[in-house]
Amino acid sequence: MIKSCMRKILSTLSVVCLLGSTIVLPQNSFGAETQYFPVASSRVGPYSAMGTGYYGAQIDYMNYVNMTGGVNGVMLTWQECETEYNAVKTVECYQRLMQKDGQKIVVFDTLGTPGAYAVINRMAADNVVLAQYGYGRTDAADGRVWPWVFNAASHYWSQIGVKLRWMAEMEGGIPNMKGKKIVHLHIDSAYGREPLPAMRKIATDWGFTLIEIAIAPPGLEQQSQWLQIRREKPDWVTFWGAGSGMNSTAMTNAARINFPRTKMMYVTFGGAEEDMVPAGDSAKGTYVVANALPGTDFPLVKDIKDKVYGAGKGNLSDTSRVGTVYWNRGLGSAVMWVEAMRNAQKIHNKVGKAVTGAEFRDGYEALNMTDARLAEIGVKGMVAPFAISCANHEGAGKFALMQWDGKKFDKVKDWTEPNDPKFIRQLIEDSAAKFAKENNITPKKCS
Amino acid sequence: MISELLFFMEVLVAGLLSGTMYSLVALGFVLIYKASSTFNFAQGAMVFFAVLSFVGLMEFGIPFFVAFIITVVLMIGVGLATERLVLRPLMNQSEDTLLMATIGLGFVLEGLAQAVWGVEVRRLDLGIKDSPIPWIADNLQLFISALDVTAGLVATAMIVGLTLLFKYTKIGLGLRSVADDAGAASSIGIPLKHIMLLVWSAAGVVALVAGMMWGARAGVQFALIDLALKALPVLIIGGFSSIPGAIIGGLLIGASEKILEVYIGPYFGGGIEGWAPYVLAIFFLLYRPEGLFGEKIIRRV
Amino acid sequence: MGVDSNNILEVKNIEVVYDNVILALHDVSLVVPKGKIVALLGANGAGKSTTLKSISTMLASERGKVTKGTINYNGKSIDGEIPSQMVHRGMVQVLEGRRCFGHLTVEENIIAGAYSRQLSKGDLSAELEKIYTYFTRLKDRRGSQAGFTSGGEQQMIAVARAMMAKPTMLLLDEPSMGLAPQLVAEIFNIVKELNQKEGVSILLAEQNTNIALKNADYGYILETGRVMLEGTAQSLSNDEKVKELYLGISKGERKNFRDALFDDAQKKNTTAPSPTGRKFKIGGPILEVKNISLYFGGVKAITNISFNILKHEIRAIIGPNGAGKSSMLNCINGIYQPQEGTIWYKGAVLDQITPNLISRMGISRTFQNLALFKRMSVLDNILVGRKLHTKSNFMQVGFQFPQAVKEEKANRQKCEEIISFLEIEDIKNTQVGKLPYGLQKKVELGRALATQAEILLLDEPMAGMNVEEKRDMCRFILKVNDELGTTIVLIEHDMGVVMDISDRVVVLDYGKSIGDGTPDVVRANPKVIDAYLGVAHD
Repeated sequence: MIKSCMRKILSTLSVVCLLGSTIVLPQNSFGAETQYFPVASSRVGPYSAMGTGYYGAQIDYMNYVNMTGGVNGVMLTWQECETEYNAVKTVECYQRLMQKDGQKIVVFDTLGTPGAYAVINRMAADNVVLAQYGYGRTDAADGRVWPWVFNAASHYWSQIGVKLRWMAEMEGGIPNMKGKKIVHLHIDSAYGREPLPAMRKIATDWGFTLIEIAIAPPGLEQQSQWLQIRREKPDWVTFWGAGSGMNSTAMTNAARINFPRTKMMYVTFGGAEEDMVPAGDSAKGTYVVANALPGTDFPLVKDIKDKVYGAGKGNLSDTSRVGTVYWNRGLGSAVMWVEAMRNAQKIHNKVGKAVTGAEFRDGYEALNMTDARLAEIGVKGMVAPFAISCANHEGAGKFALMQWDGKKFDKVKDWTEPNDPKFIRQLIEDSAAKFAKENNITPKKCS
Repeated sequence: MISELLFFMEVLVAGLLSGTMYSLVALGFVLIYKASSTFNFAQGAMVFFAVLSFVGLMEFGIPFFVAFIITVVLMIGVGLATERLVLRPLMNQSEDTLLMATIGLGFVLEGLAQAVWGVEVRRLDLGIKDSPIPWIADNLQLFISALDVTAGLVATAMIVGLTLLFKYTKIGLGLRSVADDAGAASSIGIPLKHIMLLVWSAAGVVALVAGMMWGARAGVQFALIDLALKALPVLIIGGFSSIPGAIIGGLLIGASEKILEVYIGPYFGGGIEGWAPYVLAIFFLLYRPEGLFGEKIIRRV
Repeated sequence: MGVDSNNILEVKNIEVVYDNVILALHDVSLVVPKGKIVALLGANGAGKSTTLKSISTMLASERGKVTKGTINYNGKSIDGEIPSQMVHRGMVQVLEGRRCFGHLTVEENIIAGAYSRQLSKGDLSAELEKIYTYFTRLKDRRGSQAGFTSGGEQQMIAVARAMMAKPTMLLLDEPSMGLAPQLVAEIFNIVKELNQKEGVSILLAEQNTNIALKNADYGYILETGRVMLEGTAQSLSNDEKVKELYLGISKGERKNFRDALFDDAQKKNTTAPSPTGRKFKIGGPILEVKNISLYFGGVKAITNISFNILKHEIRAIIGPNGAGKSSMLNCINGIYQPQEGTIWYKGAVLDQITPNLISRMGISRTFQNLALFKRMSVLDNILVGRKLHTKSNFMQVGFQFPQAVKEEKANRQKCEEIISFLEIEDIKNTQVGKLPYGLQKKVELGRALATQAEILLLDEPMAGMNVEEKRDMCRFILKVNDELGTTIVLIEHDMGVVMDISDRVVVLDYGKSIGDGTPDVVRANPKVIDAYLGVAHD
């Protein structure tokens, strides 16, 4: 009796000890070098679908890197903080995540334009890279004014440029755009209005009418907007919403007035499976652009599924979400972090060591994702090949076009750039120069 | 070209129909307000919790009606727990305290729902199409969706049902007595806790129905919680304690916000729907604070 | 002590505490024999309502607790019961202030009373008809909204509603409050009838000692949470002390009272008005009320009243509950505008006045129910009274202009003076809400003094006080009058000590003036004795 009792206590104790040891001993106690990354996730609230997929993929990839030997032996550590896609909380998280075990963050990713605007001015002083993966402040693509900010994986002005190019192609050329009517249906926020400067300019150049209609968040009610659209009878609608509620409601409302979904073009942050599914049949035919294509056939995605999810270490409880739009986008961003870190180690002679913010920045600016390199990593075709330079922080500036078939996205057109990339670039440089002048910033010399 | 008049009619009809959806949400608030004299900030979370549980159960392959019944029972359970764990300990505290408690309750329900069912947006198919009814579209040139009409009918049915319940049943009389003066009601033997339980359960069921209507239209998702706050101007206009007020207030808000958005919105850069109802509500607060149907505060000197 | 089966209710030595700190009842014991009417008498705040609520278990809902003693109802303890359970056991309380369901109809109110009973539709209407035989007045108004019925009707609704629960015992809390005497008589007749025909035992809390003793079999007199006196209704009516304290028939005289206060004060080493009297001689009229009448809807609250107030005098307005005293005061300070008649102040007619204007003109008042800022300190409360004398605006104060700073200093100085005058230095930084009632009343007096008004209107300054507190308050009222010369108008419903400190008294009843003159004259006035005792003086 007593014996069995003792045995029970002993076994309990040993379990406790075991548990304790795993808690007390983090990876670096084995002597390995670590690099710390912040995960300012948004897993609850109206934008949770986006946040769980995107940040889930980042964590999955970091786990994967650690399982496959780290970045030249350097193990990745991370810490999460919930922003709820709220700018104020994003700042709070930025401060809270700033340090861990004495190591400072080297990169920050808000996955939200409001959040990005809230922290963007601290980057230079804090020596932290702001990696806006296809969102955020557009004119930050000018690296001379914004050395610490990147919007690699292409910004909103390129995105609207690419969309208009497709419309023109489908209408039979730019001359045919004359007299057409396009409604820009957008969330009533800075993000919703972000593409407008470029769009207005192109509208006057091409001679189409641009009608701007705003939706107040959360946007579950869009009757009045769609009634206006019905009255205007536009040829195309570019939709720039946020939150799957607003995104799916737009499609159901389009269905209610019989506006063809094949004349609607969705923004990257409204065009994912989670946005399409709730709209049911109404979503069928909707066009979406992507800066990272969905799919589970990419070798890296397969490998993560096997190794990370196979070991039960996956971040998403629903494995079927691996390979969806938001997850693959998150993977794309994490791949860039790791690649930037690798570059930094090489440039600064720190292979096998952790890097600082400044070194990481240099590594990021040296990103050169050729098709060959993408193939090595296992994501060839998932993102457009690109290179970043001192002046150009945008990357590819290309998007692929997909169409929702009711169950999944079909790629209908491969990576494309705007009609006139130089024109978009000029807009960026003008805007950045204006900002530099207003804020007394001397643009960096790039040569 | 659609004629201007027809377009106006269409805006009006669309507004009225979405107004009934607001009314449905507002109804739950009215119920609680009647019994506890407090604005139940958790109502939005209850809507979310109820419909998410319903859809979650359906995902397990449980048939529609069974899932509905289980969710109703669940919402009664929520009512029971609220009465036992929140209302009873806070009895005799000020209404402000209760208000704060409902905010807390809201957070608990939000969190619980997301923890149990996850955060993905779900589709709810009630088998009713959210597309124009062909006959009306062809003959009247009005685009009215079947779902909107259903929501309107459901809202009307619930309002009629609840009105009859309050007016003609013993339990309704008890509830109205408690709403009027809880102390006096308890002095003549009306058991407050039963009434509270009943009301919170009823509010839970109303939340489920409202959530189903909204969920079918916009997907079952977190944003439903924010949407529930639209009920506030509805209540200010209709009167916090009036069931017919909830529907009239909803219709007024629905119609006026759509008309304002379409005709005045462009001058403000659009998106005024978000705040226009609150401006309207402020006017009511200034000129008719008890709302259209709210009970006048009876005071004798 | 065994349980006496003749008693439906036995309360033994109960102590009641509110909020875990405030002791409301010290030691109350009483019995109600089956089928009898027992009256619980005493001033405001004596503990009558608390006693009733302890018995009906409604105390819990006001954060009160019976901490000592026992209550047995129908031979069984009421420990652990909740109100709805007590109703099942046959005890129903009619709460103070009637508490009708204002938004429900009269009939719905009454039907709600039967909530605890399982009645068929037929039985319910039979019960309803039976109740209407007692309350014939309500039958005619069955469809009206209860909130719009008169006070008397609301009281009837409350009693009728309670009767629908078929109680064996009723607890009635102040059924006469604020009602005209005819109505009070009517209600008491119904109560008596219910007692006799339905055999309901009744415990009745009343401030109106006169009407209560006329209808009860037995009475208890409470003072500050203790039973001071008990006896049959007959014996209490004849008791000298009751006559003096509660029926307002006093033999005291002003100069003796003043001497007594002076002796008291010397013993306690505090200041008191000197027996030699006042610094300011009573002068000519400062305020005159001429033929004023006031109506609420169709109800006449004040009918054709005239009287004057002389400079530096202490003038009392007395009368039973609902006589129109507060209405009178509200007319003087501009809360109500009388429909007829004029009020003259310093030789000019007060017309189109507001309370704010009145206070600027030098008339300040205190309220029957304290109107203090409970979370602020004593000093801050009194400083508020100085607001009138502050000329700097908030910008100047905000930016600390020299003028504002100087003024602030002067104000504080003045308040310190008042605090020392009222002998409350020791509590000047205490939060007002934490002070006992008597002291709060004093703080309110202090705030009124801070306005440096020429006339102070005091609305029941001694309500709810025990005898000692009352004497203390009297002392300060006299002191203010003697030393500062402030003219004082005070309202009281129990004549007690008021008669001793007033120079002249005007007596109101049913909104009419029934006597005016020095205390001696008033005391000898047959009409006054009749109003207070209900019997002709012979």
